[in-house]
Amino acid sequence: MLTINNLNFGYKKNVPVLKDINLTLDSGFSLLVGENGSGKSTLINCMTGVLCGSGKIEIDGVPCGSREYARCVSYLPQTFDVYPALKVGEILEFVAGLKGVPKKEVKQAVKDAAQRTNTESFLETKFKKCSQGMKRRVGIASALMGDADVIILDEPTAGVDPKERRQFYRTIKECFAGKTVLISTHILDDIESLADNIIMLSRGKITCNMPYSEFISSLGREATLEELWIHYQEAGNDTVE
Amino acid sequence: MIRWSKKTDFLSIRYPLMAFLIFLCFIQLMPQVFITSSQMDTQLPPSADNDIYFWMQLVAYVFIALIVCFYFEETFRTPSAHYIGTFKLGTFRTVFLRYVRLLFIMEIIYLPFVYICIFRANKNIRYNMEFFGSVFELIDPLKPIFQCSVFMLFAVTSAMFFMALLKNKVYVIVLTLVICIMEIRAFPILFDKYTLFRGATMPRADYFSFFPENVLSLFVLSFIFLMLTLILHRFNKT
Amino acid sequence: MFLNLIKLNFKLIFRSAVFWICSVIFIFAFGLTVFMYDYLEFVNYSLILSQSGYIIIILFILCFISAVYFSHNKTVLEQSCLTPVHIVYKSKFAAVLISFMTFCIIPVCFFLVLEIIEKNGILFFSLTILYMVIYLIGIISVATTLGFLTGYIVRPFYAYIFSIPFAVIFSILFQNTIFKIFGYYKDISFRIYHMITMNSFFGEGVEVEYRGPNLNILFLIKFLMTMVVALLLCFILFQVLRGKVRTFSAVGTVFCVAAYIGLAAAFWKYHPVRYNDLEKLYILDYKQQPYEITSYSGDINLKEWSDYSISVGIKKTGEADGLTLRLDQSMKIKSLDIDGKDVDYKRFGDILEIDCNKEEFTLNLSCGGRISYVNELHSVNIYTTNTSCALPPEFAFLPKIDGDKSKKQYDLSVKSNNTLISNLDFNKENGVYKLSGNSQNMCLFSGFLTQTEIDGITFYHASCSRKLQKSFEAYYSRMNSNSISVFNPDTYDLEKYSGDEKSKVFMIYYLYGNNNFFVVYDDYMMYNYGYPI
Repeated sequence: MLTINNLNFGYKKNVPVLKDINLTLDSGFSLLVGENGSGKSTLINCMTGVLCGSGKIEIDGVPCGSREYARCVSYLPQTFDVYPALKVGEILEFVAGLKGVPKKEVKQAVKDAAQRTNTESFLETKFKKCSQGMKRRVGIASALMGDADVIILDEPTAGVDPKERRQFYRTIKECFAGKTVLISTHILDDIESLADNIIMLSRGKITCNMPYSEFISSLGREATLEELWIHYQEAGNDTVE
Repeated sequence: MIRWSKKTDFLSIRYPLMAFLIFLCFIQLMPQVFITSSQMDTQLPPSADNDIYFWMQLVAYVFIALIVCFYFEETFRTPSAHYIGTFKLGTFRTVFLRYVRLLFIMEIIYLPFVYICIFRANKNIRYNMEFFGSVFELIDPLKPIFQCSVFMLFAVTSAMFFMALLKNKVYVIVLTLVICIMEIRAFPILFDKYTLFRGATMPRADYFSFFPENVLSLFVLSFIFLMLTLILHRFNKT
Repeated sequence: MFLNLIKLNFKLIFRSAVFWICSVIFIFAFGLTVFMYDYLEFVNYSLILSQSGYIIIILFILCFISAVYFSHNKTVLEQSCLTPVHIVYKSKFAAVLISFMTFCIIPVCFFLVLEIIEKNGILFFSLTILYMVIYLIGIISVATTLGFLTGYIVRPFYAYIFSIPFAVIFSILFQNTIFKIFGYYKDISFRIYHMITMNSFFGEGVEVEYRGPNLNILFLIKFLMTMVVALLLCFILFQVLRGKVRTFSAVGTVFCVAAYIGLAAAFWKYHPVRYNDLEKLYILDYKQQPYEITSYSGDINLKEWSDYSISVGIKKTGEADGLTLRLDQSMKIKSLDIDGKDVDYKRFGDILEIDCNKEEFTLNLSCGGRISYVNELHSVNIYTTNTSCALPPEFAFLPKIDGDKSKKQYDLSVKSNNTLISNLDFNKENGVYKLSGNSQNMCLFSGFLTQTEIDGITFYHASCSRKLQKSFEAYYSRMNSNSISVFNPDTYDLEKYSGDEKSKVFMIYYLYGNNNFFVVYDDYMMYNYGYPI
């Protein structure tokens, strides 16, 4: 379980980007949504330990920033682009090393991850020659390394075609079943297909944090996802004003 | 245990390292590099002049910078640095240990070639002694080996620093080329004996002491660059 | 559309850090070369042009890597407007080429400052600027075109590395390789070296300081060759951009190759000819002839291809079958007659044999040609150009008789585009120099020259020379020393000299086999310009 208590962060003094973020993520797929500039990436950076805000972020009592914490988190950035000149297998071995997978188990771990993400036949292909969809799958395979408890995916389906996206949903549901998964996204399809929980961020504040089933009927009437989105975004704007 | 894969480091630099090795072998095919003119005046301190440092330092610097760029690219390039930062490996393991490893490998590869070059230069000096019937001082190989090891330290450290600063290997290579151009004439005019690659063009290399003035410059700059790199990496992470 | 794209690219280039960083580096390197070199101290700033090997390397590499950088720039904006790719890159290339031509402003600014300090005159300044601008345009054109082409073909950043071998090939660094293949310091090696690289000609030799910038036919041919190479690279680039052979580009490529071959042939023809002192100047092995030249009169028009219309008075002093004169082979004879009647003659190199049995006669000769000779120390020191000439007294630019030490009466009109000096008395009337006097021989030097009178001695020197005061001091200290050695042109050796002062001292470049020693003639003396003291 990942808990965030009173998280505040600003890149400059007196210009807060995140305000009083309180969050608890349990197992299941939580989707972090919000308009551009709402603070999604900043929140994710704080959760991965790249940025340090005031407040507490813990995974089962392990504080953020420690190596122990880093081992509990698997992060897939929006652009997974590490050592593009190397082969897929070599990149996965590298990530396995960074995740502390014992040397003897690396090859097997890579094979397992490749099998689960359907990238086995691409292990000898250079990463830069892979298609966009394949690169995403390699990213997921790297996130599988180390068997982390918390998986954070930053806009994983951006730029992916609908067919590939469907395949992607199936893959991450299978691979990350039972884990705490946080997915940051703009794409409404992702919400429909994956969300167990919705966390909506607007101007650095959480305006909505509820199970998906409650979210859908939260307006007291039948509403489309766009209407719900706009409603909660404007709620955030009103709060600020 | 969390570790940075040595295999990945080797894979990332295999081609530029191969090119560097080919270059070092190529130098051996050019006999004019080792033709050495020695000081005839016994009143003055001994000196010897040849093209060894031009090739083994000035031109080699470009190859070394290329290797360092490939080696440290993912450490400092913004998207990958950001991703790797999430693993909490620490500056010491991400930068310093890997830097020491790379430096060690480069020294192991480079210094034997320096020894061969000095050996051939001494052969030429002996030939001159027979031809002119004079006595010239032979070069003690330890001294240029030491100087070249300091040069390698500077080359690796400076390239790493530029990579940390500029985060793009294109800029680093361009900067390296500019430094080499400047070292051909501009820097020797400005800094004289303190110029970085003394002996590449002018003034003459000092093969007969361990610590000529330019080696001191290289040492000091290497230390400064190393500190700055570690600070930059730490600063960028926080 | 093309113009709009060029304007867009200008904005991108002039707002990019790369362009300004290159400018700063070039300013720094050029400034360092200008201000840190010794020759600024004793001669004029145009000599930087001949010592510019290092500047060429820097400029070439800067233009090359900048062109690679800009060729790798993203073209998303243009492509989103559905602009054809080849138009996008052609406009980018044109913008890069024109932008980097602005580098020519940098040396212009430097030379402007130096001109204000040195005050060499508008003609000197203009010629220097013109020379430098033409020179740099050539280098920038080739470097930028080559860089852009390389950057377009070699997409990853390895393209930058190509700057090293190309800079080596086109610069002074290639000299050793060429010399190794064709022979060290051989004539053919220098010709090929000057043809391939963009280095100035014979930069390793001592410069004739009063010449100023050497804007002669060879320089212009070299510039044209450079531009043809740049044009050829352009056509190759256009072919590559189009992805297929286009008629225009193919024809252009063929034209460039043909033009280059033609220009190379012209270059070879007009390249300075290597000469030996003992063949051109100091003839030790000759057959004494029973003839004497009594007078020279006529008109000389000094320019790159000079014209001579001379009447030579000759008198027989003994029995002889025919007359053998020495006239340099570069002087092509247009007409030759004796006392108005055509006469048969034979020419073998510098030797001119004429059938004549008269006791006293006048040889009327009309000839002309381009003189350009380089000595074994790599100095082009016997030459005629449109703004300068160096015709030392031993050189047979007028017909002479080997071993004839008699005094001749000179009465010549010489047209020169620049200041002319001679051992003869001269005065300028309506742009024409009237030379007259009685002397064993005659010399002509023109260029940026002037004279200073000290204690009744006329010192001729470069008007653009800054180490002058030390030169006067060096002259007096040499003349006042216990024993003076001088070079004897008749024996090609050194000898002791009495130390008699002459009324005229030529304190200009004078290294014609005399090893910096004075050369003394009947009424004047040569002293290489205060070098070294």
